[in-house]
Amino acid sequence: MPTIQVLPNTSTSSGANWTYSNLPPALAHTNSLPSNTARAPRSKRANNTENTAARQRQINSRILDLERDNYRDAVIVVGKGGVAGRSSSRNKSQNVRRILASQKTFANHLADEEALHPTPAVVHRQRVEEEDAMDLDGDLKEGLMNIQDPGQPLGYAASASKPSTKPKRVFCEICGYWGKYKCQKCSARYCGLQCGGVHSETKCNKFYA
Amino acid sequence: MPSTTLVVDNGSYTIKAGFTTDKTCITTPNCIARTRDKRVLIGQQLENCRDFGSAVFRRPVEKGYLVNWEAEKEIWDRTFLDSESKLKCDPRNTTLLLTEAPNAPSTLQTNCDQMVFEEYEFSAYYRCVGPTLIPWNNINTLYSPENPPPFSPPAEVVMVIDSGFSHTHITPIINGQLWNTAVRRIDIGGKFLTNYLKEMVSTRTWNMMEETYLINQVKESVCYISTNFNEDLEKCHSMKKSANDIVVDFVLPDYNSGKAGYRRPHVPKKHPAFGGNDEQVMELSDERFSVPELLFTPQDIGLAQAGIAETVMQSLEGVPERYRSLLLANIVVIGGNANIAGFLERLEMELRPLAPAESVVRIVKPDNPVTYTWQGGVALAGDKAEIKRRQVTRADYMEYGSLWCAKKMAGEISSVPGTGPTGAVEKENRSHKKKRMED
Repeated sequence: MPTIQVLPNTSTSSGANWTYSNLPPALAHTNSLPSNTARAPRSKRANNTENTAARQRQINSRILDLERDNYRDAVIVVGKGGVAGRSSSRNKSQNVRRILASQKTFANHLADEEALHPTPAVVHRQRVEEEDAMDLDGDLKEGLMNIQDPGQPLGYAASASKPSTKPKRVFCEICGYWGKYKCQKCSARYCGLQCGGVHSETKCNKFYA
Repeated sequence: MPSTTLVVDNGSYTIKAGFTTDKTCITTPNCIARTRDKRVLIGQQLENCRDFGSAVFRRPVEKGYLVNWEAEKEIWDRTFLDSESKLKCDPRNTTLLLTEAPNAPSTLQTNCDQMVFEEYEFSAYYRCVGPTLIPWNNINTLYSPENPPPFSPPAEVVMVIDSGFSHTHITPIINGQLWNTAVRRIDIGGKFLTNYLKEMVSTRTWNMMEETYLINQVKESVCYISTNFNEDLEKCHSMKKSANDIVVDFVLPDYNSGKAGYRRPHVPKKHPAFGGNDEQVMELSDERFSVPELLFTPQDIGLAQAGIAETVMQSLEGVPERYRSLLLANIVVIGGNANIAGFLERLEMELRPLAPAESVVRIVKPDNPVTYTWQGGVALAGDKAEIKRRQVTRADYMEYGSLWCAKKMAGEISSVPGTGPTGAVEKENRSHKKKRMED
């Protein structure tokens, strides 16, 4: 079965009784809810900032920050002066010169690799075919499960672990205790009045914005 | 026939390298650092540095894959070619056994082959996925240290959990072969944990955003993985610091007098901040266990991946059913994060309920989880026939080209071209030869 997941986008702000739609005008009404009901008071509206695209961007940029080597970008130049016992003026082959001059990052290489071998789609298709085969015949299923072949490498993207089935736990942004409450403005979590105060004074809407 | 074999486990944090003859592994930092007094330190030179305040780092290995050869060449030159170095060797007379991370982009693999043969000119070379070297170690001694059953390498079935500096890989290895379709990766590694601790400490006590090196030391000395997270968190929140055995102090290093930082039991502050004693202390309580907790619950910071235990189960879905119980009973944890206290207990606690009731869950950690891959490489290199079958010699590389070399490393070709149905390779050879003639 294909899984259908509603991804957060910029138009998922609940409470608003209008929405942008990129559908043709005749179909536009199917996209969302142009209802005539009165706008709910602020206190009754669900705070839906948790799932918005902006929130997702915040999370992604935080994860990227946590993968950095240095807090600030730093350029360290090397390659001045050779090592003892090795002549630096030696003729280098064309390949070596190309590799040493390459300024590509891992992200560049990954993009190249995915353009060359779009594995995820292939793997997905294989999986679907296998599942279809299983549905058809019990014996065939048995046969597929006993494949002796370790297969080809999956590639970087396809080998990532799938999302956890456990719910996400939330912690106070300030002290690390359970984040019982959510900031009205930026949906950051805090544990109580004291940490809430610290949050709104120092971190609210500023961090990662 | 080359006289020596050099085994190199080229990790993103350290290079674990050594010769098979003397069986000692030398660990070299795989980075270039610039300290605040503008000195540039390369590889082994970092060991002699005392002051890492505000140091910045450049690492040639990014996310576990060797990306930047410009920087790596500096480090390799100093490690393997410098006459001062303990690992000095003559590449033309040496066989190189090099590791890489699973699922490496093919361009990076080719770059690596080309550098090894065309720049360093090693006489023979074998590149393999790091965890596939683990079955060459006698893993029976880990499971039953007193009376190990006889062992003939490679071990039949091993589930390797490699939790390193850039990420954590789950790699099932069956009959010495990596089971590619079941390899899984979690994007949490030592660097991520260090940065997370850094961010946490900077919000709460001292601003440490520039002190990556120091915070890494703090992480290594104080962090542990809790087997009862909720209880520990409650304890840190509700109990007084003096009564709480989780709270510890880390005395920050004093760069003026050259004193290193160290961990000590918590001492409540008696004097005001500017009292007689000028030492600076960082108190750590729930940071100690909520940081490495990420290895088991990456969803807590919004990363859409499962923790180690769940990912092990995901990986098992990719192997034939009859191997699953065997894999669960032969789990080996390697990599720097395996040194975090409580790792094995927590993993067993989480994996036991997920695993089928009838299967045994056995998890072990070697004495030195960092160099265990290297040891496996030495064991493989000791099997002369096996390494000869797998390696590519420089003459073969010059004759048949890098595409053929990459295929041989991947195990797709076992012999020299011309003997198998490999038309594409023949074609590649011809173009390569032509190119060489032009050169």
